[in-house]
Amino acid sequence: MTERTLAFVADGQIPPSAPPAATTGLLGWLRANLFAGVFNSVLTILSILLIIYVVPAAFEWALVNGVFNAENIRECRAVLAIPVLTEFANTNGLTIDGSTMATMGLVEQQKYLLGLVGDATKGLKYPHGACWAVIVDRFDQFIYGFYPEELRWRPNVAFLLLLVAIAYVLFDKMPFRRYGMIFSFLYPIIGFYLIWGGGVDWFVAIIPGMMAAIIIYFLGEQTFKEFGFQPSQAMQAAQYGSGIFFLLYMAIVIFMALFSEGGKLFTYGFEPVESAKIGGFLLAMIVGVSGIVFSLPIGILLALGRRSNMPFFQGLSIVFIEFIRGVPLITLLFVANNVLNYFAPPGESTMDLILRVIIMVTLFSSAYMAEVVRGGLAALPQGQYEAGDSLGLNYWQSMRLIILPQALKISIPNIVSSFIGLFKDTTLVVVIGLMDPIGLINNIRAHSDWNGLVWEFYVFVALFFFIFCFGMSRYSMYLERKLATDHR
Amino acid sequence: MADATIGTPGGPPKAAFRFDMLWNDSRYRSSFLQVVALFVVLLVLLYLANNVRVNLAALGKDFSFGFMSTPASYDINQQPIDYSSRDSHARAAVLGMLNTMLVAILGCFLATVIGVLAGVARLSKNWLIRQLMTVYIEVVRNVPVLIQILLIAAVINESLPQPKDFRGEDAVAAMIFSDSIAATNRGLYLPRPVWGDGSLWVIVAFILSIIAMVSFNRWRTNYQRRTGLEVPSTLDAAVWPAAVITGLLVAYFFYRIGTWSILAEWGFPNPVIGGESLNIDLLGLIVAGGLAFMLGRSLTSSAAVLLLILTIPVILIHFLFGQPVSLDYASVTERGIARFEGGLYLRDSYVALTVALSIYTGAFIAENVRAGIQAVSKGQTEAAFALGLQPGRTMSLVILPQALRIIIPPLISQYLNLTKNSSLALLVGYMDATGTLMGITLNQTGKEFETLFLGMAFYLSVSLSIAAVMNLYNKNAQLVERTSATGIGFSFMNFFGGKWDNLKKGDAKMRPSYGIRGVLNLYVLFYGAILVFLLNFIFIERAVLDVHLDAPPALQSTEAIQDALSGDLPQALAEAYLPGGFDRLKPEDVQKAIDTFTARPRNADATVADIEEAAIKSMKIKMSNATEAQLGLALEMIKGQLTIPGATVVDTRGAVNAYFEATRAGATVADIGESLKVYLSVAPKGEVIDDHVKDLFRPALLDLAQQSEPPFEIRPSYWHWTTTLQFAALGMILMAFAALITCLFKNASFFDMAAIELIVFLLAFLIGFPFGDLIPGVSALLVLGVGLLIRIGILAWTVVGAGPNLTFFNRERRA
Repeated sequence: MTERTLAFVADGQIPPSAPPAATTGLLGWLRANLFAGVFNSVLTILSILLIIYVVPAAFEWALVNGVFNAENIRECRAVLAIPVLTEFANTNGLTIDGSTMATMGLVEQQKYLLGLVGDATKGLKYPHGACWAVIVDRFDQFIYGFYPEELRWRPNVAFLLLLVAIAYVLFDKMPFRRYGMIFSFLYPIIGFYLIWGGGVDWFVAIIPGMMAAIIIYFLGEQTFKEFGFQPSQAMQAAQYGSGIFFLLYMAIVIFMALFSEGGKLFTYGFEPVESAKIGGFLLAMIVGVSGIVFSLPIGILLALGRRSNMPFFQGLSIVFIEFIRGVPLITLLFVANNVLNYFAPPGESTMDLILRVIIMVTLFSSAYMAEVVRGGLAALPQGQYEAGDSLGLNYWQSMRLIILPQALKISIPNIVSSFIGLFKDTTLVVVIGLMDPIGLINNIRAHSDWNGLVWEFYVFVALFFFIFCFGMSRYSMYLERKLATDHR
Repeated sequence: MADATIGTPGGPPKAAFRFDMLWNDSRYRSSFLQVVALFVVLLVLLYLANNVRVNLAALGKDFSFGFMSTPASYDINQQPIDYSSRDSHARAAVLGMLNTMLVAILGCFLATVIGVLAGVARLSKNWLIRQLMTVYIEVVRNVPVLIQILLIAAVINESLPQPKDFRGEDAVAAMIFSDSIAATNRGLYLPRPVWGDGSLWVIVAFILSIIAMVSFNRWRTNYQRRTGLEVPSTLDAAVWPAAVITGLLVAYFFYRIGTWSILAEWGFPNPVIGGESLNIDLLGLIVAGGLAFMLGRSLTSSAAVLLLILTIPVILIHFLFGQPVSLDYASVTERGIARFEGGLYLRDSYVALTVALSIYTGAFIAENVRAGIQAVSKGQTEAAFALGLQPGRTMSLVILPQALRIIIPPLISQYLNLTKNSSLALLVGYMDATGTLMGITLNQTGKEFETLFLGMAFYLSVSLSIAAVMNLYNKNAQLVERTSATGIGFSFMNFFGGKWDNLKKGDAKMRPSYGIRGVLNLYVLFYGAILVFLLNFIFIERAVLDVHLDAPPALQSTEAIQDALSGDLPQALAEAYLPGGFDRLKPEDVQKAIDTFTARPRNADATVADIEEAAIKSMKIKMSNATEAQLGLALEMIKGQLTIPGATVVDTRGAVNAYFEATRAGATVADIGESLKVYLSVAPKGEVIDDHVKDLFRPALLDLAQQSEPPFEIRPSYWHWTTTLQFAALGMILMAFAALITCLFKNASFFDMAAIELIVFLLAFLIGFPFGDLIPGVSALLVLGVGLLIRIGILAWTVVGAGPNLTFFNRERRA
């Protein structure tokens, strides 16, 4: 643009010189990330040594030498031993009778080879390998416990329906959403009926009644509005409608219970399966899912109570929450096992153990849920509460329409992590003798076929839980990002 | 309404109170709702309590803590305090609690170390370390802790060598660190410090050194304030001596743990002088020398002085007194069953539990640490650098104080989780509070309610203490905001964050409550108190009394009994009782009890213990309702045995116990009188009477008092103050006081009053007789007096504000 006036003024930029070779490319990355300074280099080398020490050995144990096909632990050992023995025999010029071998089982083959090789076997080292055959053999048991084989389609269907029910709750773009939500609300009773079969205890029948009443309320309100009623009239009409429905429902249930055997309803239909037969991951799922589902409404109420202005409700919520959070889950399970039956009306048939566990787990998790929801409530700006008040909404209206939708949205990631925690904690039911995966481990190890195996079980169960929980935690992170719609 | 004038200072006209205002008027609605809710809750509780009472009575169980003083008769495998199986259940429970605390304390420490290291490593510049730590954290956090505990227990039990592998010349396994630590499948054996004669002086020297260090620090701070210099430059001379001493100590440490032997194993030759190998650790020397050199270069002079103060006196005294502190090493026995003797033994289950819990909790702590450090804005670091602070000081003066504020609350709740998770000890056979109190004691005594109550109370008190500490810390450390500047007083609600929420909503809650609201509150609390009282009474008292009053249908008529007697009696009894819930008693037990009861007392060799056993067992299955003839026989037998020389009080008490149980089914007053005399002549005076015996005494005594000529009086304190009534009265007084003060005075919450009353009465209960009677004695009176004083103090505090300055916790922090 301007004329060049002075010789020592540059009229353009000097082209940038290339960065030093040591700071770019692979070398630069290595220096920056692995060998920055003496201390870091030492750490890196130690870590590499650790990885070299652990990973190949674990890989070899689990996969290279893993045995997937065997009838029992002796065959597992034989599978690992036979190649070594054969090779030893071959190198020492012993002849192996192939046709005889072919007629024998694995254990007999090992014995035959041992006999052939003789005392020279003392110094032989057999490779270590995982005996996954036990998992293959007992896989169904790990999933279903002792659930009768011909009835296992029922938990399967229940699980698929659970996925559908969850999908309707979580995703708002599903087809037939309104009916899907009804289905989700009714799912607990469907699932219960599918898994246990037989009749339904009359008090269990209260739950679908309550669910149905809630649905009738919402649907009714909407329908009345569509017919041109004023909102307040529609609400009142829906309230009365659902209330009357619930009373009638309860009357019918109690009436039926009075005239049925043992207070059970619908005693026809699916063949009953007793609780002792339910185990494995099925049990973990039942306890975990019902714990979290039932605890959500209780948790919301407790959270609202804890933030209430009324000292009685506040005190009640605080005492409940702090009590439950202050004791280990294991003591609550003891309560379920030992004490809970005493609270039932005298002379009643004793409550089912899994049901008792679900009750205590629900109480346990509702305390934690309350804290999660309270966090969500506290995160809302005061203006939201005041907005509700200034619109003239009453407490429940402003909670339902303004506060809770936002608070729950904030809380969803924490609800998911609370579910992960609860799902992990379902393993504790082993202390009261339920056949969850860990209980099954003891059971299987007691069997003579698999007595002596240790690691395979723990690795398998740990892997299952890891996949599930890790997936859930990633999902909650995804949700957290997706739901972050605030204006920051 | 007509005479109400508009605009008077009195405010809007006051409408007369109508009942529909209770639910329509927002002034009264919440109080009314709470009254209703309170009643509903109490009714539900009453219903549940009544169910429990009836169900317990049907099983013949009562609610009392008397069993805590009976012998536990089981062994505990880790005993931090002396214990034998003859000690009481209470001691066993305490032992279990101590074991829990041992896991919790070491676990929290290890978890903090692991967590801080992993958290910092996750932020490291080193890519590999970062990835490794991510793997560790994600894997550990997503696998149930129970599996990890079992896995580590399996690692210890399956893959570590047995003690016998350590024995002999060609031992398969060897102790590490020059025979000081043995890792076996039975657990870890570590050296144990032995405090010999004169070690007291070493400890004294150590304490004095600490005091000296503190005072040096104070002096140093003052000096810096005065002069602007950290320390006088003359103290720089301390740097090199301190560095050398540290180096020497490190070298000595390497020598003692014997790294030279490890090096020798790896093929490094020891230096040889004159044909003799010197056990000198070259590598250790090099490391120590390097360390000394580095310290000499980098140590600040004040740190050097502190090091010198810490080390020199202790070392000098230690050597002057002839090395009184030594280590006791574990060693494997040479003959007999191979096991380790001496040293400090950490049992396998303890190690597995502690290690697994620390690794698990460490992963969570690591995440907290990472989040805390990341939460400190980068601008803070840059500001510190801009001020010229060195990286170390930036960390300690700028970043850490801010990060800690974020890290510590979740850290403490992780400690809490670790403590609660330690209850999984049960599954690896470690005897903690769950294993003893809620495990074996529960199963042995069948006292589900009592043991679970005590166990939960233990965990709850630990949790609440930790929570209290955390909340106090939070109050102290959190940024001072506008709301707290008003300086609210101390309230127990603070422990639960109660006041915080309330304050934000303005001070409406702090207004004194008058009028109908106050009256409603009073009614709520007063009737609440009475209902609680009733609840206590019905729940516990009736459960005890009703136990023996209802006979099962099979034995209600004489004909039925005779039928049963002529037929197969044990079978009939079993049928009569087992469906009723005697699930712990098998038919064989019943058979055995009846055999013992009917046959043994005829035997001249029968001891009192036999009779006790027989009588108690048979009474448990309500044989007392069987026949008069049988009972008479039994009574004769028992009475005959009562005065056996050498019978212990427990024996006699058991016998009398059984005797009274029997008399309630038809023995005469004369019998009761006679046995009472016998009992009182045998029982030593002042003996704390067993709850159970006492409960049985009461109706007998009442009968006796009414029917004897002339009727005599029974001192109320003798039988009136049962544990139940104490609890009931406690509850009632507590609630009533709380009610009164809540209604009358502002700033006092119901919760505070309840908490204070509870503390007072717990103290009274503990100083009186735990699990026994609170017969008014000097100690109890003292406690009551102190309680009264405390209450007067509270009144003074709430009325005239003459209280201690507890706003301390809310004070503003200034530089």
